[in-house]
Amino acid sequence: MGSPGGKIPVTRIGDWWRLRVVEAERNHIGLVTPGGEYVHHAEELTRFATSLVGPSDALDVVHDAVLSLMTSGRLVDAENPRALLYRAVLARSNSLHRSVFRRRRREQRFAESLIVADPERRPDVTAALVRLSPQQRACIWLAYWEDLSADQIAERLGIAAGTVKSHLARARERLRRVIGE
Amino acid sequence: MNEMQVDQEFRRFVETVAAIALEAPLVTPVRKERRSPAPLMAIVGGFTAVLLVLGLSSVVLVQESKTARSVGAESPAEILDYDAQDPLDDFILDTENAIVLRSLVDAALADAGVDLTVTKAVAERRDLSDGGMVHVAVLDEDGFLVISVDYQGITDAQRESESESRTDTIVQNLVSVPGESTRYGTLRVDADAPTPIASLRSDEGELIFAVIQERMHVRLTDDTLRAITLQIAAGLDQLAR
Repeated sequence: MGSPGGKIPVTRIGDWWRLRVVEAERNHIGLVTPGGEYVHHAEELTRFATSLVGPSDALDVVHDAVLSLMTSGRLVDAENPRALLYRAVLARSNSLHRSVFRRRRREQRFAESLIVADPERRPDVTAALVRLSPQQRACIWLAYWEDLSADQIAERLGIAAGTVKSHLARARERLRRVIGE
Repeated sequence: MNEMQVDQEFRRFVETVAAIALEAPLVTPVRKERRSPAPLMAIVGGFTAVLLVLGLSSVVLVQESKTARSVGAESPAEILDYDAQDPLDDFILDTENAIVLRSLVDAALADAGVDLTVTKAVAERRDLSDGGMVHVAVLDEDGFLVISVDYQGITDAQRESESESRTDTIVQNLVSVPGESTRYGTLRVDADAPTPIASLRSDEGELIFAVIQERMHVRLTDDTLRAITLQIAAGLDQLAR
C-alpha cells in the first residue's frame, strides 16, 4: 500500500487512519498536522472531555469518540467536523454517566483531581461542580472557557439555544444554592 | 453577590480543568500517595513493570540512549520511586496508531471472553518503519500491568535476521517454540511460560501479546492466545489494505 498524499510516512497501522486524514485535509477539515502525527483538536477535545468526566477518563472518552467517528466515516462528510467531534465527546461522556455507581466513582475521582489542583476551593462547591450533568458542564465549559454565546454553544453541540440557556440557568442555580448556604 | 460568586467559581473551575487536562500526561514517575491512579502514573507503573518482567529495560524503551536506573532487584512498587528519565519520553499518548491498536485489542479480548479492556495506549515518536513501537496495556486497579500488547515495526536491517530484533530474553525464548505459518506472519505461542506470550512476526513488524500471569486471575490457553493474536493481526492487516 502506498503512502497517501506522498509526504506522509507509511506505517502499517497508521495507513488506514492517514487515508481518512488526507481525505479530511483535502476537504479542509484540518483534523491533523501534515505529518499525520497528531489530531489538531486533540488538546481542546481533551480539555473539554476533562470538564465532563475528569482527567482520568478524558483521554478514553476522546479516543472512543474519535474512533467511533472514524469508523462510521461521518467525519469526512461533516459540514462542521469540529462540532461533530464535540458532540461525539459529549455523547460518549453521557454514556459513561449512565451507570450510577460508575458515575459516583468517576465524580469522586474528578473531585479529587480538582481538590489537588485547587485545594482552597470549598469542598461543597467542588462537589456541586462535579455533580452537574455532562450537558450542564459542557455548556459551562464552552461559555466560560471558550467565551461562546448561547447561540454558538447551541451550534457547537447541535442543540437549541433555549436548551443551552436552560442548562446554564440550572447549573447556576445549583451552584448559587450551595454558595448561599 | 451570589451571581458574581457563581461566575467566579465557574471561571475558576474551567481554569482548573484546563490546567489538569493536559498536565496529567506530564506527571513524572514519582510515587505519591494515590487516591486513584492517574492515567500516566498508571501507565508508567505498567511500563516499569514490563521493563522488570520482560527484561526490556535496555532494549525497546531506552533504545535511543535513554538511561534508566537498574530495576532488576526491585519490587514493582519500589520501581515507581525511581526518578530516572521518564521511559515514556519518546512516547506520546493519543496517536492514531495507539487508538487503532487499542480498539483491536479490546475487541479481541471481548471476543475471546476475557473480561478486561485496555487501560492506556501509547505510541513511540519514531515511525514504525524506523522500528517504532505502539504499546497498549491492561492495568489492574492498583495500576499494575496485567496484559501488554506491543506492535513494533521492523527496520530493513532487522528484517535480515529474525533473532537480531529479539533482544529481550522472554521474547527470544519464543524462537525455540515451533512457528506456525499464518497469512499474517509466523505465529509462536507459549501459554505455559511463566509469562504466557504470543508473537506474530511479519516482514513489517512484530505483534507481541504478553500476560503478566501473577496479576491475571485465569490462565489463558494456547488456543485463546492464538485466537486473540490472530484477531488483532487480522484487524491490522485489514486496516492496512
